Amino acid sequence: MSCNPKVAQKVKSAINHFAPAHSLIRNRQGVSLVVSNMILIAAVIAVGFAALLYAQSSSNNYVADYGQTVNADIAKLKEVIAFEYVYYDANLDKLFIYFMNAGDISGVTIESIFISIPQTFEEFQVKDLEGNEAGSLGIGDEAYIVLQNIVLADNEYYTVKLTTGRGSIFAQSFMS
Amino acid sequence: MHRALCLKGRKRLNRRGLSSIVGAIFMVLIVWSLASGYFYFTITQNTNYNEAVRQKNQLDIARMSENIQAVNSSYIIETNGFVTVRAKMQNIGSSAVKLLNLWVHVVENPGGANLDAYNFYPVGITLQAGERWEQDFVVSVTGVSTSGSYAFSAWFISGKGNTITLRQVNNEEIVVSQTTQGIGALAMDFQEFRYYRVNPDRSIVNFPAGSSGYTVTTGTGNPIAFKIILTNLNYQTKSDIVLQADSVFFSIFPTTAQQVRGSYWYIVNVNEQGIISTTYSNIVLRYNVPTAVYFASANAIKGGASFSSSSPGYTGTSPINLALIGTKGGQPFGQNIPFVSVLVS
Repeated sequence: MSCNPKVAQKVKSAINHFAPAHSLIRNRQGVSLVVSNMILIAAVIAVGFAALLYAQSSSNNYVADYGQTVNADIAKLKEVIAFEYVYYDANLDKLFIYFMNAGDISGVTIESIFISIPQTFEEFQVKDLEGNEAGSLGIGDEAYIVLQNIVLADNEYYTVKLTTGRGSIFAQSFMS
Repeated sequence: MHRALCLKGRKRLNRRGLSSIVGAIFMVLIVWSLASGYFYFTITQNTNYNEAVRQKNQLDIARMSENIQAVNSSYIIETNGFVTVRAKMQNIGSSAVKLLNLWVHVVENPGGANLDAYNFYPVGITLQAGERWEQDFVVSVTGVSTSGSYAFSAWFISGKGNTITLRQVNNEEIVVSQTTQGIGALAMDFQEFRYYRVNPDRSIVNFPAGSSGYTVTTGTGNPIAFKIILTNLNYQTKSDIVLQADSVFFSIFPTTAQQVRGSYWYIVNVNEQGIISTTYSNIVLRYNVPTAVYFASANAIKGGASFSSSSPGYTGTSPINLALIGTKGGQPFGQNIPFVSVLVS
């Protein structure tokens, strides 16, 4: 069978026109390179996103902790306890501590009391001036604590320190 | 041409570097987002903390700016079990101060029952900047009695937690400095002895300045009134002295060698506008409080009698006596203060 030379010429030019595809189709080694590159790129993108998400969540945890620490410090900064009166009853061996929340934050609790005997108390009742038990002090609230079985020397200076639940310490001196 | 095309194709096909570029881009993205986010958050938290510190400092400044003076305080036990604290306060600071509680501590002097008691009184007063305040506070203190001898201490607690100590009046200074001015429970202020002309409508001329009471120049027929500053020096009990209508300011004019003549002015009430009241209400002299007392009536204003003006009636030098009648601590009281002389012309 003989080929029309003009037709053959046309086919040849068409083939040459699609030479890259033609060479691609002929050269199957180039196809696997492209595919593998595309897969590699996809994998990098996926791993990159995963890494980004992981880093974000780790940093979120860290900044949350940091934020809590700063907020706790700010709350501690706002606490102020003002002592109204500290009275020692030598006949009853009792120490009466009257104080108020003179700060700018509510929810003030007393965690422990230290007296320069030295002695630390962690079990006691905080009561308002009417004698009712007070859980925490709001802004401007007044309260008192009575410590029992306190033996102090006569006419001596002592210091009482109140430690709040947020870690602030307030001290007052008194004479027995 | 085919060769050129092949070369181009080789370059397009060699894309192994693309994944590295993409990986590098992601790494930069991760680092940038972490760093910027953390940096911004840290800045925000530091700003919050600095703001809290600033507010704390402002609170401390406000607390330090509170300045209340409580002077000339006195303590009286008028009823067993209660201590009356008289406090004069002035806010000399720049901000209003709220006084929450008044604390009183009472210790019995040696020789007694060794009482050592305290209590507090909810005050709830707000003093504006520059405001003065004087008030009696009756504080219940178990065990105190009117017959006991005690040492007192008292203090206010302000809303910002400051303590304002009440300074007790120095009784020794009062007794020593005012002994020459009077003997007994009442003292007269010689510098503030004034007299006034009285109009028919009971108004006092040139009130409250008046003229020196030592030289009366209105003659004999013009009604006049006298003002005397009296101070209650009842140191022992510090109770009130009440002057009744029978208290009188009387003068003795030695008109002849054989006979003397008297003129008198009974105690009256004068209001802030300088008008003499037709009736009389007892005047209370509180402990260590100088009080202006006026004498102007020709008769004691009691038992239905009303005010009637009084004039000297005579001229010349006249010794003056203050015959005061009333009660002291609820008990009958009388004192004569004979320390001034007047020249009537």
